[in-house]
Amino acid sequence: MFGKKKQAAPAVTTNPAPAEGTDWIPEGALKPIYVEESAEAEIAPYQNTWEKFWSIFKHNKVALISLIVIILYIVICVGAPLFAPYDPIETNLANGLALPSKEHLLGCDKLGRDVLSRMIYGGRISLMIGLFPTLVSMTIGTVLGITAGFLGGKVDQLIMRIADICMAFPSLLLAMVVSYTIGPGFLTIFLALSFVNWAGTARVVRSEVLSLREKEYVEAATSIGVKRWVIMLRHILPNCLPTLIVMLTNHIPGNILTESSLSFLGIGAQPPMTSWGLMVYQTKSYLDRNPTITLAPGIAILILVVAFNFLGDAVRDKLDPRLQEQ
Amino acid sequence: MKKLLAILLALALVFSMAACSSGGGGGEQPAPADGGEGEGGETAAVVYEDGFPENVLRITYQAEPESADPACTTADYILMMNCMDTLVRTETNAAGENVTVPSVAESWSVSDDGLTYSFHLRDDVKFHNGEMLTSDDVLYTVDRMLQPERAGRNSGWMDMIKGGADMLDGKIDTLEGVGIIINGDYDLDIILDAPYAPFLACLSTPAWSLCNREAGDRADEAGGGPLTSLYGSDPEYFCGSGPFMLDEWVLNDHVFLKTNPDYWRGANSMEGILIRIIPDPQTEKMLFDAGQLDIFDLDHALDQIPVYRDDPAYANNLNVKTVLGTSYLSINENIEPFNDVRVRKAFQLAIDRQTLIDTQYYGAATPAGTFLAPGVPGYDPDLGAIPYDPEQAKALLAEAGYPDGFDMEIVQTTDASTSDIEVNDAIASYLEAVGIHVTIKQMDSASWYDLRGTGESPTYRTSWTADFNDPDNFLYEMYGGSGNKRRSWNYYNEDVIKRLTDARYIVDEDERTAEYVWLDNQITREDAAMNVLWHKQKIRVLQSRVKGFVPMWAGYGDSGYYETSLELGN
Amino acid sequence: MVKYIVNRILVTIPIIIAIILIVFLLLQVLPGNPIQVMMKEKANQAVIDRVTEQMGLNDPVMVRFGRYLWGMLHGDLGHSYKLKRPVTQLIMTAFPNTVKLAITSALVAWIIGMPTGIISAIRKDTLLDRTLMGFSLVGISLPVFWAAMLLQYILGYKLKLLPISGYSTWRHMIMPAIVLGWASSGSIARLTRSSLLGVMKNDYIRTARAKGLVESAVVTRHGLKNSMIPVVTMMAMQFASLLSGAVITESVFGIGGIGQLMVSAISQRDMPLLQSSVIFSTMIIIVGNLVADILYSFLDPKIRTQ
Repeated sequence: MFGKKKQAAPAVTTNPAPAEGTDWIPEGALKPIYVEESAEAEIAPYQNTWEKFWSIFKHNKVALISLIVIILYIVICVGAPLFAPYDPIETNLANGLALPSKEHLLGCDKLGRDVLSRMIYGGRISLMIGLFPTLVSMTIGTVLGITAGFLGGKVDQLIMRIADICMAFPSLLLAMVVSYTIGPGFLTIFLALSFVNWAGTARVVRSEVLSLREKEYVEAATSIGVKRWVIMLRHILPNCLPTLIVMLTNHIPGNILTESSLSFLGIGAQPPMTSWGLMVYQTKSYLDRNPTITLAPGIAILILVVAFNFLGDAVRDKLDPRLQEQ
Repeated sequence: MKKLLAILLALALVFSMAACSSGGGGGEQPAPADGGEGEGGETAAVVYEDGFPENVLRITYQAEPESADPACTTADYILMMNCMDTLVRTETNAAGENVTVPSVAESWSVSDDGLTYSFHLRDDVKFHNGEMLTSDDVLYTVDRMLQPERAGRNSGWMDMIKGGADMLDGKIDTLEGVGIIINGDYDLDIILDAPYAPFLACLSTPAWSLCNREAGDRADEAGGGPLTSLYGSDPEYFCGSGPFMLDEWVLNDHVFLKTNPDYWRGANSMEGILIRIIPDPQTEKMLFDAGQLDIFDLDHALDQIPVYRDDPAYANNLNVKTVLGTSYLSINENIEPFNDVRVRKAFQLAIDRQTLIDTQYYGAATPAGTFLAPGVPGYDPDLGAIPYDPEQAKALLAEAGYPDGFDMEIVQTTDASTSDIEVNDAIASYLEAVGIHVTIKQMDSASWYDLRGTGESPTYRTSWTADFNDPDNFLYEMYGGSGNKRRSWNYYNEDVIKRLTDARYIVDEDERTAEYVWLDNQITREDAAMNVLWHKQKIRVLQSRVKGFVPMWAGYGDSGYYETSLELGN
Repeated sequence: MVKYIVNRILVTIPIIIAIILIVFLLLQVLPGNPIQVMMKEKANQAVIDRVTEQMGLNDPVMVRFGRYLWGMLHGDLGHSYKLKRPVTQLIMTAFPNTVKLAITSALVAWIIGMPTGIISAIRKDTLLDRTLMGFSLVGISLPVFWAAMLLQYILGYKLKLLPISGYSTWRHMIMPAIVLGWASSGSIARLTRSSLLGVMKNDYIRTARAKGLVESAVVTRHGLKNSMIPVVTMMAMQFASLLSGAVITESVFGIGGIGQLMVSAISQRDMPLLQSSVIFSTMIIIVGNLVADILYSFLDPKIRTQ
């Protein structure tokens, strides 16, 4: 009875995430609100997480396709020099705004740069911004969340209040402040996005920890005198993994979308290099004359984000105990 | 089959709900379209979504105008140019020369020593509040700008008046009897500290827009002091004597200027001017095409130039005005290797100006070879544009000890337009071709202004447009006084800088012009202190109903619309 | 219950104080002199220095902070450097536009999101479910400004169905509301679906079914009521988030709301306006979360009984 009170309250405070461009992390959806004490979760040793993870794709074609799409994107962007037909920053004014053709599949921008090549290189930035700040912010969030949840008391209060503040601060504005202070660039986006996202993770992890703390195996471990940090690492962290994986698949597309918003505000990728967000922004005035060069990068973002979201859904359906088949 | 039905039902549900929400919303307020109905008659092609009558000129502004108070802005002059008057005006005459003509000041004379300017004012100029404009208002205009508590932004246009510096320091309260002598309601003398040849031209700038004392005091009081005066922001307190009156100001949406029926030059035939705040040029284009705007400044959207030029419906409605100014890349001589004149010359020779103009500006510019723009006294047409010669550029670099080129940075601000970014990228690739490796350094403009002020900014690209038609306004602004460091030139030729300062006081016109020809050549060509690029044209596309529009003489974005009228009913 | 709410409100107070302090300090690190920014190219160093001094911008940080706090306590948020108007007036002019946008967007989101989620849950794993979920997913996957731009181009420019830009009437709000609402509706639909599915697995639902209740009655009477708790909470927070300003949508559609106010204030270094608008926007989120929490505790019997 005691445990339920603690886990119910924090579960509510869904991440109020940036209003625009970023998915609301449906924590409510993945948090057991009425916690039917699912027996399964208790028995489940953490290795099962991975087995479950792979079993997702056996039956879910959409998830499989999404995964393939994502891998394809990563391969193409990482191996950009191999796949890009042209140098993405080499200009050829004679080709300015060339329509799609055999030589330039997606046409050329105003400076005659091959749009396909620019997209392949630009994807690197979009993907990096999707992946790295997410990993960093989630690591910070997990560490702080576990600390808060496990230690409780004043530490918990302090961390959670800081999290409240971070989540309430307008994130795009924060990115602008950081960018104006240290100059725009990858580091800026990285810092800004990390700062915004850790709080959401910390919240969820904390509430997860609060519920896990009351579990029998944790109590058992505590009673036989296992050290606190060992419990955290051995028992609590692994059991948070499903939640974390679901959050990861939510944050990555969120960050990719945020990058496009940052580009709109002029603090995204730095020319002459580009990102999809910047490409859309820079080519918007050619919608009439050469729509391909505006539409292509937008569609690239859309497909990637949809793929991540589908993957996230599939993972959640599989890992969220509340949605398990009975 | 059943499934299909279910899908259709669901979709119908969703759409009907969406329709409900929009329909419900639309019903609560009358549709905006009604506004245009009354006058348009049955042939009115355009229904104005803004709700203003047809006989209103619709223009845009990219951001909220800062203020209508000359003490409060140095950038957004549109309100002053339409709602206020100056002592004299600059006009482009039939021969294409920019000349100073009488305005509120009917006539004037200058003393032989160049220190005393005596003006005789018209006696029929009436402020919007009904008061007559007198010498005292001119005195007030100067006094309020120089009053320390007001922190007047345009005090730089007046501090050359005798006693001006003292007043800014708070040593005296008024210039009356010191730098301004009132000789009656419509006569006054302005006395300068030292002779300053361009003073009369200065008087035509919007900084010298004449304010009304009574309205000014009222606005100060209402706003709680001179610093927070409501003069320039609240239509109720604003008062000018110009052809239009500030009537309505809806923040972030529009400013409406109503025609002044009592204007001393005769009332304009339009009912007023609607200035819509539209930050996004793409939106501006869509509004223009939909007939919701009358004038579209293509400077905001260069890529639309060919669209309108090739469109028979608009091809004859383009208004082309050569801007009295020059675009350039700055050179910071403190940054190696730009301390070497050969490198600077190579930097100039490496850029193909004509091709850039053709491809990026669709021909709407002419290549530059001097900083002084054609039309400014001291401009030397014989110098011609700087040629494009990559081979010689490479040779010069090799001679200077950089056979493999070098690395440099070009600063670009985050608010740069897409076409600015593209031009920079194109310039970078030309430089790359001669071995100069460019990194584009993006900074937000506030941070960059700070950096530039310390004299340490790397190369940046911008343009200078004349405030008044005098070479002093070009060259001295750049290299004289604090400008040299503040604009990050660090130009070392002390001899030239000294001659630049002395040239301000030359009274003989021919001698002065000859001196500026020499100075311009020395600075931009011999010393290659600046990489001049082109003199731009400002192209506006007008709806066919717009008649008589005269762009501002120097080609600014802000113009007065007094000469403009609208052809109604089609 | 009352104790919980009071407690929750008390916790919010130090957060608000902290935010005021943090915003003020954070904005102090921004480089750039507002006077120089405003005067642009046509500026003379002597004038910039003098105006900076005359406007008190050279005073030490603590003096300015003290002045700011003092003013705030007296209901005076200062004067905008750029727009020469009291900050309170500027925020109060912009806020109604943001409210208008938030209400229309939220309506779109709720009206589309909830039915979509419910239908999807009832028809779980059918083609209909997939289609609707796909539609929702696209909504949350669209880059906002790209969507806004395309919508503006197609509906406003090409088809001339809706006004292109501005906010003077409700018709102007439709496009921006669709852009923002679609994204939010996606989240709502997904949450509704998963929440309903989760609830439907509970024992009492099974009991209800066993009692022979019609499926629709099971869903509406038992399922919906309970599954709506997280959804309503989320809607409250989404709404707060919309009220705090939508930077991109406001810019594209030219809506003079809080988001645009903040962005223009930051690029102009208009500190009085920036500080106050950021604090204002942050407060809305904080209060929104507070309301959401209270709403939740009100709806959830588990908490209410304590």
